[in-house]
Amino acid sequence: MFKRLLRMGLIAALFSIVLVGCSKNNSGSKSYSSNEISVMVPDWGAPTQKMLDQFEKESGVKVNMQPTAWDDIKSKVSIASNGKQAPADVFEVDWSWMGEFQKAGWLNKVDVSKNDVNDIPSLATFKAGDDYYAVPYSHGIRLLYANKKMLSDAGIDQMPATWSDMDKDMKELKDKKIVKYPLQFPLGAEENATTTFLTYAYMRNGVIFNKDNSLNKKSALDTFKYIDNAVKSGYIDPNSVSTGGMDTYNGINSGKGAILIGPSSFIVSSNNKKVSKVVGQVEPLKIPTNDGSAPKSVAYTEAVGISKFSKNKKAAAKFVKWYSSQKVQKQLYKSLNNIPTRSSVLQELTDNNSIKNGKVLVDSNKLLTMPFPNGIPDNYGKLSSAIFNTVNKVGRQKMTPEQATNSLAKQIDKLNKD
Amino acid sequence: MFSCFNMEGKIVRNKNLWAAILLLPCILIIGGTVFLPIITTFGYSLRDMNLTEVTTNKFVGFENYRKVLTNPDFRDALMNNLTVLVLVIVLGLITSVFVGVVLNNSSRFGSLLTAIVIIPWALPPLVNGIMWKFIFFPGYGLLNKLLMDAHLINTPISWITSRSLFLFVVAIIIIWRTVPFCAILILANLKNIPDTYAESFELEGGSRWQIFTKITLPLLIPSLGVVLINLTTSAMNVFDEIIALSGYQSDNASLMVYNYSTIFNFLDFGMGSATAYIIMLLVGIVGYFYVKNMTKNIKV
Repeated sequence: MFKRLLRMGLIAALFSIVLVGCSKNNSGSKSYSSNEISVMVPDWGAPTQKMLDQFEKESGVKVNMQPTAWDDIKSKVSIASNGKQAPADVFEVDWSWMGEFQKAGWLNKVDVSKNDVNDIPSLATFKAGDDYYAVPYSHGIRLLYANKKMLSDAGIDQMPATWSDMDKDMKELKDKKIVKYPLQFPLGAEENATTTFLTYAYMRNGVIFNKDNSLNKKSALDTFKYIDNAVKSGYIDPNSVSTGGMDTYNGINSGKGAILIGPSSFIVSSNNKKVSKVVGQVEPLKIPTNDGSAPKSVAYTEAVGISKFSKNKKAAAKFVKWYSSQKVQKQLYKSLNNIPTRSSVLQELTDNNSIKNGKVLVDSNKLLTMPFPNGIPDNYGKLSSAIFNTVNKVGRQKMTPEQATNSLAKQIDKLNKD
Repeated sequence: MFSCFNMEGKIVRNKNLWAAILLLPCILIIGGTVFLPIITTFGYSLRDMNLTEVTTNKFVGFENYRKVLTNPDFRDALMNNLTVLVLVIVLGLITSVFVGVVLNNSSRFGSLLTAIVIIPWALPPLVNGIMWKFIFFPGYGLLNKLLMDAHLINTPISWITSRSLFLFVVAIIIIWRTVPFCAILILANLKNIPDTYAESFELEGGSRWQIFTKITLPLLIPSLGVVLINLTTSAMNVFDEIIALSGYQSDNASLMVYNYSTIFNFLDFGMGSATAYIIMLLVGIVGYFYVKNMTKNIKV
């Protein structure tokens, strides 16, 4: 009798598990009260608990942080939003996701003041039509980094200002055997190869995509030729084709390379004893120009946006406003080394020497433009994959610059057609 | 309650009904977690379904299958998988038998060696991939350093930048991870072969090689079938090792990497589901012949 009861109990328990598994969940994220929100950002963007407590005290809004791996955020947002659920009330919007998220209708408009628009030039990346859909919190301005000690050892006193200066410097560094591979350029098949290619092409030629979103072949060919020549001349480590982009960038901090065009975070990390072997040696500079051309800069910035399906949009808007405020940007820089997106904050941190050599950041921030004439495309994922795989093939000498240009142009035309 | 009367009027349980009730939770769980997703995925594969293009979600029939099969990246991935599969089966089978025989013959350190051999099998594939990346790293990986220190090479070999070498390296990693389990299977089989067979063959003048080929190997066939299936599934499902070694490089992608990229990087569930079905079909064909062959051997 007891055994029979036990069996029946086990069967009932199994049924319950199945039924619970099949039950309808009413919300993708936890349902909070109107004064409670969830925020999904990578761990490098998560404010400290002290900051969040202060925000709760000021606004009455409790924040539940969901630090999430950057790679996972896009799929979490997509899957939840397809089910018309909020993955979180506020979530990370990387510049490269803006086109897809906005077109799919997953982002709520955010209110920004005229002052915000003037103070945060990278806001333009997150604008569609007349509206803004996310507010940048961590800057990704591209800068030129040069190891002035290595340059000096090669007998170069003047920092490179033009592309031809940079080429001459790399040759000197190589010929005088100051460093085996002077240029740190990511060639691995991943996102950093794409952003670096876009940066070089755009900054060297002022254009990379035509107005109809097709590839500007002249600019692409020039850049592929540049990469091809740099690999053949031994300026770039050929093993970069198998290394992660961040590992290649980090070569500037380990002293493996002397020149890098990379993210603004290296302005801080190159002077951090914990991660840099060349403290005090790396000078951040504006990206070179062609002789006589007007300077400009590009940035690949991270922002936060509000889910269209959030049930607490007012509280979420309060958080976004607080999170992108001057005060919080300063705190985020101090606690997480996040490079502020506000010109005023960059200026203040430069003036009080919190950011060493910060003037270049302030100046570059005023010159921001975007390589995409019609905004970030909604098929950026596929576009990026086509670019980094082509760059990788040129790096591996599997394609000539001409073949790479034609192949990439064809792939982009097909993407535009689809 | 689950009972009925027999001809003599005695109460007997309706065994079939009772068995069906006991199986029901399992059927529901497997139905919900295996068969339902398989059917749903087939439905997705017939739609133009990109998560970020909500407006284009529509029925397109077998168009996704046509697109996948005509995609050069898919064909590259298929060729990569087939190359790895052949290498893993040939080298993996030989190594598994060799390790199994060595473990069987080393009576003094047998237990210790078995414990050591099983370690690679217990490591997660991604850890394996990262570890082997350090070994085969193109510039100054461990292997290049050893070869250069031994003056066998003058300049480092780019192990993972050339596609053919890369596939060879991937096959080696899979073999390293899979062979321990296969060798243990073979060892268990070897332990069950009575020594008297070999002894009587030896008395008849048979050499050690003849004992191995005429006695041992034929008796190993049942476990070799399982070993083959294990090696095949490991080779067809290779993912973590490729990601650790070369990321999402289209030339080096396996079918799984191609599929993951389509679904989770491009969020194209329509194309990704069609790819998943094509892979399932390919693996199903291979699996069918293996299982059929195994069943035939068991009958004999």
